[in-house]
Formats: sequence, C-alpha cells, structure tokens
Amino acid sequence: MSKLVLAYALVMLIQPINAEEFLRVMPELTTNYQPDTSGTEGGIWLIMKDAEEALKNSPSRINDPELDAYLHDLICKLTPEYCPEIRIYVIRRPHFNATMAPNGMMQIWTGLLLRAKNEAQLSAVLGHEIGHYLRRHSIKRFDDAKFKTSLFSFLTVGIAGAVATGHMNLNAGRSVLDISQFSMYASIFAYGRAHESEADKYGIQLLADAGMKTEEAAKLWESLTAEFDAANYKKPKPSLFFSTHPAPKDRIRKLNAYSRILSSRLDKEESLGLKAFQERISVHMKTMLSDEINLRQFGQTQYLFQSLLADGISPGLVNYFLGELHRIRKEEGDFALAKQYYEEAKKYEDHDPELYRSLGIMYLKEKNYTLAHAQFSDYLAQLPEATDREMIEYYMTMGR
Amino acid sequence: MKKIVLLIIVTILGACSTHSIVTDKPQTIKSITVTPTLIWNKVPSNLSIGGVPTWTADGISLNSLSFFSDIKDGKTLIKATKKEQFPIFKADMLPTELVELIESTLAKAYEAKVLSSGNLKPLKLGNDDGFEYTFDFVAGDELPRRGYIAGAVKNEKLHIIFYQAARLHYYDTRVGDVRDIIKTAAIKE
Repeated sequence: MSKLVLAYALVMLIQPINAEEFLRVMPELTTNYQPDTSGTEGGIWLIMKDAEEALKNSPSRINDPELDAYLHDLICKLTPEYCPEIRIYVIRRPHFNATMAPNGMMQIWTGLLLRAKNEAQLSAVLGHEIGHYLRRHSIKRFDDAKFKTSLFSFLTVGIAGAVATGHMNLNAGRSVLDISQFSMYASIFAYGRAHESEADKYGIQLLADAGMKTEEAAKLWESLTAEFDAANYKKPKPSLFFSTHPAPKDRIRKLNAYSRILSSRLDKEESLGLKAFQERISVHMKTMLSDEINLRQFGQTQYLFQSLLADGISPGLVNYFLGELHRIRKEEGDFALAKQYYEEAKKYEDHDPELYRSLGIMYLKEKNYTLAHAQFSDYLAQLPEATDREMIEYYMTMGR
Repeated sequence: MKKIVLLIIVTILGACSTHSIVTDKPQTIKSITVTPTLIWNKVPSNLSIGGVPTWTADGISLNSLSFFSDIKDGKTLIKATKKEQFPIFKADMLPTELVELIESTLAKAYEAKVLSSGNLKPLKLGNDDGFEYTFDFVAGDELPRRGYIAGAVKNEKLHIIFYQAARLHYYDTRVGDVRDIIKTAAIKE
C-alpha cells in the first residue's frame, strides 16, 4: 500500500505542466480597495497602518529615497494599475526575506537584495509578494481559526516580552519591526502550499508581462538552495527558508515549467536588468556584506560571496570581505587565503581601504613588523580621517 | 502553622527578583575591581545582558553597565547553546579584532546593528594595556543606543566593561560616571 502511495506521489511530482493548463491568475482586489472599517479586515488594516507609521522612522530602515524610487518603479513595471497602492520599505536585516501586509505595505530585507542577482530575480520576489496581496492570501489565512489562535499567542508574547525578556534587555519588548513582521503571515515563507504556488505563478506572469527573463525566478531558488546546502552547521539550523513549503525542488520545477510556457509566448527578448540593479544596490554593498559576515555562518557566506564574485558584483568589496571571512575564521590555510583575497581586491577600484588595516593586523600577528607597519601606513594614508588612528599608531610602535 | 505561613511568605518574597544598591566601596566582579559612585543598582541575573553581572542607574532598558570578566581562550562572550554560533575569543586577538568579536556577538545575540563605530584607542585598565571604543547601534527593540567599551586581555583572559544606554539623554547623563569608574578599574593578577 505504502509503495502505491509513493508511486502516486512520484507521478504527481514529475507530472508535466501543459501550456493549456497555464491559466492566468487574476487579481481578487479591485484597484483602490478599502475594507469595511467595522470588520475584521478593517481592524487588521488599522493595526498595519500604525505599524507602517512606526516603520517609516525605524532606524533599521535603509534610508535611501533613490533605492525606494527604483523599487517602486519596478513594482509599477510589474503591476501598473496597482502600483500606487503598494508601499515598499527596505529593512536592514541580513536574511533572505520579503513580507507583504494585507494593506499593501511591503518589506524587503537587505539579505534578499544581496542574494537577488539581477532585476529579474528581484522582480520575481516582488511579483510573488504582489500576488499575495492581490489574491488576498493573508485575509484568507486569517479566516482560519487555528491561525487566529497563533496570532493571539503572538500578541501575548509581545506584551509579555517587554517584561519577561529582560535578560535580553536590548530586545526588551517587541519592536515595530516585529509587529509589522506580524505581516509575516503575509511573508514569502509563511503561507500554505497552495498560496505559495499561486503567488509564484502570479509573480512569474508579472515578470513575463514586464518583459523580464522569467527563467530567473527558478534560478533565484536554485542558488538559495545551493547556499543553504553549503552551510557548515553540523545540524542544519531550521530556517524560514526550509520550514516553508512548497519544497524548493518542487517550486523550482514549477517555476521552470511556467517560464518555458511564458517565454514561448513572448515575441521579444526578455531583459535581465543587471546593470540598473547593481548600480542601485552598490552603495549598500559594504553594509550588506559586513552584516552577512557578522552572522558567522562561514560555509554559507563563503558560497554566497563566491557566487557574487562569479557574477562580477562589486569585485573589490567582495574580495575584501572574502579576505575578512578567512581572516576571522582562522582555520588551517585561512590566513594565506585571506591575503590572496586582499591582494586581489586591491586590483579593483571599489576596494575598501580597510583591507590595509586587515593585512596589517595579520602581519602583526605573524610578528612581521616591517610589513605590518607598511600596511598600517597605507591604511592611514588612504583614510586620514580614520577614527581608530590612535590604535593603529599604537600597533605601529609594536615590535620596534 | 505560623511557621509554615512565614515560610511561604519568605519563599514568595525570595522568588521576586529585586535590584540591590551598589555601595561606593570597591566592588569585585571576578577579576575586575572598581570603585563606583552611589548611583548604581545591581540587576538580577535573569535581567542582565548575557547573564553577566550588570548594574543600572536609571533602569535596565535605559542604561546598563556590564562586566564580562575572565573570558578564556576558545570561549564566547555570552554563553551560547549548541545551536548558536557565537564568535569565539582567542587570546591573541588585537583590539580591532576584539571590536569585531563584540559587534558580532551583539548581532547574533540581540540582532544588534552597528550604525557607526569609532574612536578605538589604547587605554590603561589599571596597570594593563587595554582599549576603549564607542559605537552607535540599534538592537531588536529599535531604540537607538550608544555603547562604550573598555577592555583588556590579561593572562590570556578577556575582561570587558560594557556601558550602553539610550542615545537620547541617558548615554550622556551617565557616561562621565562610567569613565570615572573605569579610571578606578584594576584587573587581578
């Protein structure tokens, strides 16, 4: 019996998606939709409105009007008729995530910006989130009594947290981020299989409408899967990514199938949007790479940085941070690798002067005082306003 | 019967975590000795940062002074569970690397994001060569904070005094007092 079930499951898994079966997913919201203020949905919108006001001034928000405008333009490319209703906020959090609240408030985390390799991949996520919004997935999910229970628990934890999490008092209480994460129920990860698949389909059809490369949607998930596979945890840490469904493999298979159908219907070449995307996020690259290093997930981060390098993204900075990764990890052979990456970084205009300090530190620890001194001199020459000048000058007296 | 009631009352009172006043006599926290002024209160360990000895002047959410003492080579600043990958202290770390260690620990434990970091400079902690630095950060509660750290490695062990407070008003109010305390600091041989 179990063999039969398994065979059925396998057949279902490899079942091809026919072009005829690709029926367009239609929005369920009218433009300028406003819920009845006396109902549950109206209540949720009110909570979200307050959370959004606080989010606007959150110190975790990346304050870059040009980036906001760029992202909003992308939304307008994907869904011209609904774009005035969707607001987008970039949040400095080094994990892959995006969330959509039922009132059209979208959050994009910097960990996602770092991992999306081009405009098409980013747009696949934006389109996916738009799909959740226009198909009213969060409200549908809200109707589930079980979910109401967990929502109540969430709020209870939030209130108790202000008192009980004192031992982590830097985190005392739930932040507005978390309350708006409460739009996590609209997160890219938090829906059920049917809603996720529907949002994937919605996203990719918007990609095709906008003339962007649809095959990039599956590529994003493929590289994420590879990155998590490269994690060096003995026991894989349960992550949002893995706790989600549909399983990444199934998701990739479906997205590839949709892509083939949609591409065959296009009569023009699809765009990747590589240059515009890279230009827009390059100003935040150092912060994003630095936040990623601070997670101390070396296996995963190494994979990510090397794939950025392979794609030619900010080579000076990425080489520098690969150097940082090896210098900080301190496993056998890491020092030599770190030096190689620093030297490679020097070849590019966008290299960070801090790499001279890192090299100086490494030479100092090797008691190679002459080379250390030279690197520290270069560091101070390139960054005369360095706030750690006194400490560097102290290092330069060591061994003399 | 009276004894049982008394026992219950004492037990209940004992269960309440309370703050206690730090006197202006020399205070020894493991290997660190400091002499404070009379404005500090000991924070119960279940409320302290990373479970280490912590004091507050105006309330734990507004400011705190924590003592990370006697961190051995190969250990983390904050006790980590097996699943948590907190960065590890190595006895040969230079102050620049110790700053990285601290910032990464705060990022891992409290989702802290450093907004700006600076003024790393040498500092004598008692008779020992150490360092100090200041940084602005925001943790999970989204309150903009400023941190001031003084530390030193002695006998292969790391000792850190960590002051942090709400950037608005509270940091400046007590930082002078903190600097005075640090001037009195000594690390046991």
